[in-house]
Amino acid sequence: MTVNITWKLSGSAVTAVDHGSGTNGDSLTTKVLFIEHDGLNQLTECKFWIDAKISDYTGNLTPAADLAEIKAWGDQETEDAFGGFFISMNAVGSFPTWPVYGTKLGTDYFTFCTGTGDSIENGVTLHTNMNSTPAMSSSGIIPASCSIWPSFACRVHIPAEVDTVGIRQFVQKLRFTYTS
Amino acid sequence: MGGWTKSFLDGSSIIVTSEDALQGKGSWSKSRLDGMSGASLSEGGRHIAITGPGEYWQSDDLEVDVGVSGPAKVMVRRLMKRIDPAERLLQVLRTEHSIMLRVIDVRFGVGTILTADTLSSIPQDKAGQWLVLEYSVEKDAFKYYYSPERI
Repeated sequence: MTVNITWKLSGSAVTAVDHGSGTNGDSLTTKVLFIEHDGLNQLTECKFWIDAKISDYTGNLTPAADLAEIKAWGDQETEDAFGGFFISMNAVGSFPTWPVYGTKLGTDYFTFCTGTGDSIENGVTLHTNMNSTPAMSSSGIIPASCSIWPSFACRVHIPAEVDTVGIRQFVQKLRFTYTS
Repeated sequence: MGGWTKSFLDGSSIIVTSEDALQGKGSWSKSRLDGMSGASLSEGGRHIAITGPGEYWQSDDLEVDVGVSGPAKVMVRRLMKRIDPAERLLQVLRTEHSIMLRVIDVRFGVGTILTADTLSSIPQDKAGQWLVLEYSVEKDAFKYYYSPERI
């Protein structure tokens, strides 16, 4: 019934991801995460979304405020105000393209914003370009027993216009379907 | 104790407890799938079941926090049965903690007296689709619906 997921960053299993710190207009260090699982069968309907970090919150405001701000950065319609949490799933191409102002969403990259990854209903399906062996047969499917597990890159871009210094926290989630 | 049960037309059954599942014993997809007459599933004192001969499947929705290694949390548990064109009636039996869907093949008649308020027609355009019965662990709620695809 249950499936164990191991997240690897630079080859080591992790229990949290710190995206780092920066100042206005910075793109923080890109993190490349590998998704491993011990299921006997493939995971299907795999989707990313973000939620408030309710437990163990150590940010400067509230979990709800941080989540709202991250999504709002992605919603902004001016270059200086745009930013947020970005995902690139083109591991095959070594993550060549990232969201920018005016192009928040592409075939294998996206910005978490209103209507995109802001709830499980709007979860973003994993792309086939995540460079696993065997390859993902179609979007949202992570094979079992991979010799190379699928990976994606993520980073936070701080809008140029942000005026409140502090720690922001949120939870990125992976939802999937599994048959034993 | 939770787990799932496959029941077969020959009277046999396969029972896999949650403990078995946690230890990697018992696989829905790799155990017998032919000749099924029903399936049931229990989770946290809640029970779902579908009866009627045919093709069945079981799946769960699970969730993890990205970057937090460990077991995924079960969010939704699900049973499915493919609807045969001759199956025209659906009986829904509910209690506070359980729901059972009885799929009735009109060719074989109805063997028991059915209470009309538990019966509904299966639309003809649902033939070949999957009757999906879910228990949402996170919402403590039951739901059933038809799906063109197996989930």
